Amino acid sequence: MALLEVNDLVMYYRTRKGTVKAVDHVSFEIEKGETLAIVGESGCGKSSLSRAIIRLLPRNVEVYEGKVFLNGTNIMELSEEQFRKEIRWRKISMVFQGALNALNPVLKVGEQVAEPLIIHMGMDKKEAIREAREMIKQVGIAEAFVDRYPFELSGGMRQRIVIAMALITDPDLVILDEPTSALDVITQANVMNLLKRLKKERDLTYIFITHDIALASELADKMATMYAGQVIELADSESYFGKPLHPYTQKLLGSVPTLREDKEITSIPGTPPNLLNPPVGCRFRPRCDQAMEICEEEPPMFSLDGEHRVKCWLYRGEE
Amino acid sequence: MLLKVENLSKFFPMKKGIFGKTYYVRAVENVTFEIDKGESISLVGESGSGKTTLGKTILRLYDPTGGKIEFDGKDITHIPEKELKWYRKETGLVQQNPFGSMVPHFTIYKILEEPLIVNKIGTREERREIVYNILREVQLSPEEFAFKYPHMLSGGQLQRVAIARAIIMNPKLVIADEPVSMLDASVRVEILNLFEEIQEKHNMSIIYITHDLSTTRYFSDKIFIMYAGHLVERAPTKELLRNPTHPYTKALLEAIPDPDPSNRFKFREVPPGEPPSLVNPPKGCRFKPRCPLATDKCDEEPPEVEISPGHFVKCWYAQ
Amino acid sequence: MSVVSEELSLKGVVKELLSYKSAILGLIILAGLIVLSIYAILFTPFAESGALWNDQQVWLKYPRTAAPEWTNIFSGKKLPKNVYVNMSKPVNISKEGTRIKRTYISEFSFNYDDTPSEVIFFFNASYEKLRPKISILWIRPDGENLSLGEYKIRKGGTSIYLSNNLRLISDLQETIEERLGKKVNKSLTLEDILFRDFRTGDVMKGTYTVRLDVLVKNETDRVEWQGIVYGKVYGLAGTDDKRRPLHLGLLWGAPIALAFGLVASLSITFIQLIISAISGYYGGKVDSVIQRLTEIYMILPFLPMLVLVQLLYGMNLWRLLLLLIVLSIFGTSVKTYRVWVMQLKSYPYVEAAKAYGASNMRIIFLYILPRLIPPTIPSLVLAVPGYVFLEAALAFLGLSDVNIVTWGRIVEEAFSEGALYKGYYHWVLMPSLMLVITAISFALIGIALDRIVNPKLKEM
Repeated sequence: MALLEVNDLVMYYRTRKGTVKAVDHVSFEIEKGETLAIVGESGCGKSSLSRAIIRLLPRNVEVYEGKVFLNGTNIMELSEEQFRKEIRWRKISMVFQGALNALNPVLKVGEQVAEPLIIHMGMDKKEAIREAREMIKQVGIAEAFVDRYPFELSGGMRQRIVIAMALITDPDLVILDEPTSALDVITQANVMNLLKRLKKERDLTYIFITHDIALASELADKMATMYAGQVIELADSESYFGKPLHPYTQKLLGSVPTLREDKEITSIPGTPPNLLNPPVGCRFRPRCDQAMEICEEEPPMFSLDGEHRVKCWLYRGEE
Repeated sequence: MLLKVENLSKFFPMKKGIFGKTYYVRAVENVTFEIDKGESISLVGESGSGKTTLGKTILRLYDPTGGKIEFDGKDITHIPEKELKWYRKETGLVQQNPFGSMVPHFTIYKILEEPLIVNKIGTREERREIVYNILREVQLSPEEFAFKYPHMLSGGQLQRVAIARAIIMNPKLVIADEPVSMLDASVRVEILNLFEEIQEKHNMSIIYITHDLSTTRYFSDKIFIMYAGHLVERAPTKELLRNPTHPYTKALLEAIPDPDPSNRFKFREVPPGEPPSLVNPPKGCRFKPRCPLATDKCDEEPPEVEISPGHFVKCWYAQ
Repeated sequence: MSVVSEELSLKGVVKELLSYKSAILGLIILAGLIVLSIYAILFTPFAESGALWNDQQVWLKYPRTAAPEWTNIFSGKKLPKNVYVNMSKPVNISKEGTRIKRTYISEFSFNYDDTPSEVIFFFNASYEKLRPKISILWIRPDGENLSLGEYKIRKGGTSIYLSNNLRLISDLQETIEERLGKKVNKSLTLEDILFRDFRTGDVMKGTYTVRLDVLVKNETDRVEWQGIVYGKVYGLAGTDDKRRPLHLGLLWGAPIALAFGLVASLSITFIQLIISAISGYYGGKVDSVIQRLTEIYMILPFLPMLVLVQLLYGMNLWRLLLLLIVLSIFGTSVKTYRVWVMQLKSYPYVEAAKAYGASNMRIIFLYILPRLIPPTIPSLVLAVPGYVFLEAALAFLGLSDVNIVTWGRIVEEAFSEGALYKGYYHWVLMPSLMLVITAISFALIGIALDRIVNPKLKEM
């Protein structure tokens, strides 16, 4: 049984200018110990998707439906109270981007890591701090820093603290939303090393959200491309990188500059669509150089070899 | 040589308390290099490395604390601002944030016209001609864009305007400070290509400042690597990528991910820790605390050694 | 902070403003005030208004402390307006001794529920040698004739005040008591005698006749006359104790109030913006000096300084405006604007401008200041009534210009004449009402503007 099964998840929210269809019928599964990386440009809805899973909804949410099975239980059916008590930060936790904003500047670092234990698991403060110390060491920060304030830590260290906070309650699933975006490349490599180590040691299941497709390959067992609120390709990493199917994925991979080989980089003409009024039919059609007439109708998700899924008419008939 | 920089330093004073002595942030220290006419170089470093400070000091947006800057044979290190008007015409700046670099209440036309007005170039009709031409050169149709306001343009379009503004007076040197970091991956390529075209067409020297080494291959002749205020390695592009010599450069190259699914099974060998504070940097080589090759000798600032023609490394152990 | 986000265009703001009903009300009132001001300037002798207001002779034909005419609705009684007894051709010219006697008979109807406030006869005479003699006979609708006396008039203008002629009144009272056959216990006023029914005490409605005999020596001697039976109500706003019609005073006060408030608010805000821009942009010593000045200003005694100037130099409106501006420009708003300037200064477009050689002045005035204007507009608008009230308050304290008519001055005059004690409520209420309406109008507009401009301040 998959650890997480998302079925037709929808999340729209209302703005002055109309309804933003941030998450539009997204489906995927993740096994225990697997990492799914969701890749897309800014505005594609990947952050909204992560928040939809952990039910941190915007105030002006309009539609929120679908099924999300965590270990077989549909957590969408739980009430707010139940979700808060049992799921959020107990079974599913999140590492936010921009660690500086995720940490409370007036609380000591150790206290912040201990907080989830106190709040979500009712642990007593002394014990929580003890566990927090352990966790902080685990993420590679000297114990001395437990009594320091966030501003006294460097960017990389703060990110490690945020990771510690996400892991302290031993959740089943950790959502990482651009966890290294503010870090320099060497520190990023260090933090990725940490995430790799923790994944191995604790058999963690990650959803890794990023705009950097190369970075995604550092953790991902499974890859998903997100475009205009929809998942348009889903495959295991080897198939995804080896033989990307969707024209957008191909172009994305093509636009990554590489150091190690001589490759001509391509760009994708046009701009990503507005989630207020996505194009009818295939949403990538306006920018796709392989568009056909049938693309005016929204393609279903085709499943090749039962594993590699792609939402593109080019693969009709290959199932 | 168009630009000669010798032992250039820039420190920023930081007062500590009413009675405390003044501390200095030693943002750039002892940097030496030359750039020829028509050469483009990438100045690479993480945030806090001093690369932006170096760029702005070269443009005399900051006053140098020490050392010498020579442009086109003239020593411009300490010339007062009012005598630098000619220099403003010979140089151009493209900034990182496309949205913040344009005056919001000016039309695109006015934004581009300003440098001409300020430098008393052309009559009203002539300026119109120049502005329209430059818009075409950056592939923005004047009819469509000249009278729009910045908030109506996308990030990519605004950066084109920024480039247009930087080159409108046909400068000899353009400094582009992280011009694509805030743009979507698919748009970056277009902008980098635009830089390449312009550089070829006008034979301009470009200093392209970035933290992302992987974008440098595409149009720079040379790569300069900065770490914690020091210029630690500089070499022609192919040579640097083939033979990275400074331990920091090697770490940088190792740390950059490429899209390869096997990455998730490997740990990257990168030095731990983070760049030092520039208020109290380590004596001598600033990479010493993290360097696998460090010895006591490194407490003394290493000289620049030319290990092969045009390839300079600031390290005692360079070979 | 985005001092003003991109979407704040003037058109956009105006459009959004009109979506607030409160703002529309405010704008309507303001439009009304502007119309009144324009009317005052174009269609009344506005330039001389101060001189006219101070000149008592101008207003002689208006009733004294008359209430506004519409108060009749509330009192239920029909209070009298001015009635004019006009000279027409003489009905008879005869000789009386050596003199020529011209007899005039004029009638007027009086149908009000209350007696008039005064009765005055005005004469304008030109003659050779001997002064003309006038005798007045009052004939009431009930047929009673009352002689109002004989008078000798001089060259030029003469007015005969009957209402405070105590001798005449007591004589007339005696006459009435004789005719009635009984004594009247109260002391009567002239108007009671001339207009009330002796038996019922009610005011007699009907036609009144005045017979005026003019005795002149020469044929060429001319005497023109008019009698005025003064009302107790007048016009939209009534009159004050110097007979000045208040609606005129209010009309004349409107452009001054608006101009004063607007000019004060605009100049102070504008100068403060420039000072803050220089302070925030240049920093360093200049900034320190300006900040210290701002702090000193906070303790400057505003009122005593005005009193001092008034004592030493006298005060006129311009001087007051100037003083007000000088004493406000380093106010605390400078601190707020300075912070905005410092934030704007750090924007990349300022740096870009330096890179292409723009001068600091250009950056301050063309790039930075325009962004500061939208967020200051609400406070600018809201400050206007404050300055209007300030002028009124200063006028009330006698510290404003005595040669112009302002609403505050009218209130001051009302108070110093004890208007409230004497029951002349309109004299205080009408100018106060104008002040309040003006304040409400600007407040409504300013608050709506604030709501529009401020949420966008976050995107500055």
